[in-house]
Order: sequence, then structure tokens, then C-alpha cells
Amino acid sequence: MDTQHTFTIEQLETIERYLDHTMDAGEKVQFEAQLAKDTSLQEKVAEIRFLIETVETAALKSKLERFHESIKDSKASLIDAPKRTLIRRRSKSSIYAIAAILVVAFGVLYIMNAETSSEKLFAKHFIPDPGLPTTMSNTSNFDFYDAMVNYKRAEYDLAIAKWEKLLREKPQNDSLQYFLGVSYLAKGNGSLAEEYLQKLSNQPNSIFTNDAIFYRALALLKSGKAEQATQLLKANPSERNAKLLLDIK
Amino acid sequence: MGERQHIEKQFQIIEAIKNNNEFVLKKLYQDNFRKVEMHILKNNGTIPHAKDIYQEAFIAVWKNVKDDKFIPQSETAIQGYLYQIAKNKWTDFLRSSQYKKTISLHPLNTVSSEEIESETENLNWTSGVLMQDAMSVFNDMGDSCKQLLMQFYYQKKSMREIAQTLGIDEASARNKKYRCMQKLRRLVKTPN
Repeated sequence: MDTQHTFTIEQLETIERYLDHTMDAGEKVQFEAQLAKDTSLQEKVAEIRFLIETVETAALKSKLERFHESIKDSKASLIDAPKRTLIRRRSKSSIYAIAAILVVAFGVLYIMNAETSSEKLFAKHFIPDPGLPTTMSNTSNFDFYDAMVNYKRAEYDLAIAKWEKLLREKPQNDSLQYFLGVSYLAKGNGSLAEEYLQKLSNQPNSIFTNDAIFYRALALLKSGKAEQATQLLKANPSERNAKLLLDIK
Repeated sequence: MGERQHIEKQFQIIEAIKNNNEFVLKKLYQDNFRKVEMHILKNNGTIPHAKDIYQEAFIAVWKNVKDDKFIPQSETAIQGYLYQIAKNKWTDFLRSSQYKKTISLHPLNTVSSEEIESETENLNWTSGVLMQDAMSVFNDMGDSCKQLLMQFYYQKKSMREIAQTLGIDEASARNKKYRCMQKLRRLVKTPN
């Protein structure tokens, strides 16, 4: 009975855009006009809103459990708890604590052993681009600068999601390609960073070209492609590139 | 001027909460728990009560922030708001039939800890029973759907990146997300 009212993939994605306020003004007006007269669409919006809320709340709740575990025991929490549960809970949490310490210790050892020299180089040289100044006056590019605010706050996932939406409309935009590349790099994703920064090599007149080469070299290093990074830096001499090149050798 | 800065900081916190910023949520949670716990323990509550009521209040605050129902007016607005909601929820619980029933059946101080555990589990989680059911349905879903949906809707990762970690192309990832949403919908509509 209900299955006939199910939503299509296009409807899901449109409604998602409506709910997270990423529709542009024109699409929003059109959508809201349709929404006003179409009761089945209203139902779908309510339903998808509910499902997304369910996912988000369940995710938050599992986070809260973890936040709670890491609140240290203090006298305040010992006031009137029955003794037996207290002892049980404490010994359990100390086992967890020991387990956690062991996991972290082995993790660190593993990472230290696995970390190649190019990883270290990356860590030494990578500083995210400071980003573009965000002023409130430029309303035509609101979405771009909105994501820039996220970028500056190091909320790279959000910035990426917003910019990738914009890139679908403007696939050749050099600012988008550049900042998407640097965002992925800041998150430690060398291969997607490389993919975006590579695109700027077709646009020699872009103001980002030189920076893009430097970050692309870092992206290659991040992915363990030191040889390619060296070649790229050699082909594009600059003071900054030379410094990095010196360290690779 | 100082006050203005503080309020600006509140707005930043609000923005971060809307974006599910883990660092900010964790700090807000941990910084304010003790005060709520103290209030509940001083007013006939137990440690499990304190945790449940506090988490319920925390989720309510988070929801209201997302829905723009909360606008900060002062420097410690959100912290005060969280405390107030937790306090109100505790008062409501003390007045509830659920609590009074416990008292009448068991004279104070003889209620075993197990019974308190089961009492607190029955507290209403979020916006009613429906959401609670839906959440347990979601929690029982297969791990791949759960992870994908949480990464997209909660962590707000891009479809492109999710696709990469799964080792599939973006179109397939979008398709998979769609199928997971359909599955969740079906399970919520017809439990069992």
C-alpha cells in the first residue's frame, strides 16, 4: 500500500537539497510552489525529513555514549550509586582503558613504522592555503564564500560537499578546483587532491597555477609518488618548489 | 564590546552544532554534565537517571539549534539552555506517573538498581516513540548501509569521497545510498 508512494532517487536528492538549504533561489521558489499544491510531495518531504533525522539522531546518540565514557569519574558521580554496580563499572572501564591504551600504543608503533619519508616530508611542508577573504558584500558568490568559511574553520568535509555541488554547474572553475584539491589534501586524501589540482595544469593563466603545482607535488608525496613529485617540481622552478625538492633528495 | 564578542562566539558554536562538529559537541557535552548530574542526584535521582536525562536534553538542544528554534542572547546562552532543559525534563519525570508508580510500589531506598535501569530505559528518547522505534530499526540495519548513511547525513561527507572509500564510482554510491534509504523507509513502515 505504502510502496506506491515511495520516492525516486531524483526526488530524494531534490528533497535533500531543499532540506539542507542548498537549492538556489530559482529552484527553491519552483519547488515550494509545487510543494504547496502537491500533497503527495508534502508527504515525501515529511518522510525523508524524518528518515534523515533518524539517521542523524542515531549517529549523535552513539557519539554521546562515547563522550560520556570519557568523562572521568569524580566524587560527584559516586554519591548514591549502589556499591556493586560501581565496582563492576569501574573495573570494566579500567579494562577498557587498558585496552584503549594498548590499541593506541600499537597504533602509534604501527604508524611510526609505516610512515615513509615522503609522509614526513608532507607533514613538514603542508600548510593549508589560508583561503580567500570572505566579505559579506559579494552576494553573487554567496555559496562559494559560505563554503570558504567552513574551509577556514577546517571543516573540510562541509566545504568539499558545498564546492563539489558548485563544481557540477561550473566544471572549469579554477578557484573551485584549487580549493577542492587543497581541502582534500588537508584531509589527507592525496589521490583526490591530485585529481583536482591536476586539472589546473590546463589553465596556465589562473592565479592558482603556481600554488596548485606546489600542492600537487605534496599530494603526490602523500600518495607515495616521490618520483613524480620530483619531476613536477623540477619542471616548475620556484623558491618554494626548490626548498621542497631539496628535502626530497 | 566584550559582550558582543561573546555573543559572536555563541553564534559560532551554533554554526558548529548545526554542522555536527565533533569537537564542539564533545566539549559542550562534557563541560555541562556535572552540573546537571549534581542537580539530579540532589533531587532523588540516580546516576543512570542523570545520564539519560542529560542525553535526552542534549539531543533536544541539538535539534532546536538545527531547527533555528534557539537564538543565543548572552555569552553562556547555550550552556544555560542545556541546563534548563535538563532540569525541566527531570521535573517532568518526577511528576510523571511512571515515577510515582515506582514510589508507591517500592518505598524509597528499597528500589533495586536493576529496576532503576529498566525504568530509565523507558524514558522517552526524542520526539516520541516513533523516532525511538525508527532509531532502533536503523541501529539493526546492516553495517554498510548504516555507515554510508551516517557518513553522508551526519558527518556530511561528500558522495564523491564516500564513493572513493568504498572503491566504487560516484553514481553507484548515490544509488547505494538511495537503496539504503528505501530499505530504512520500508523497515520503519513495517517493523518485523
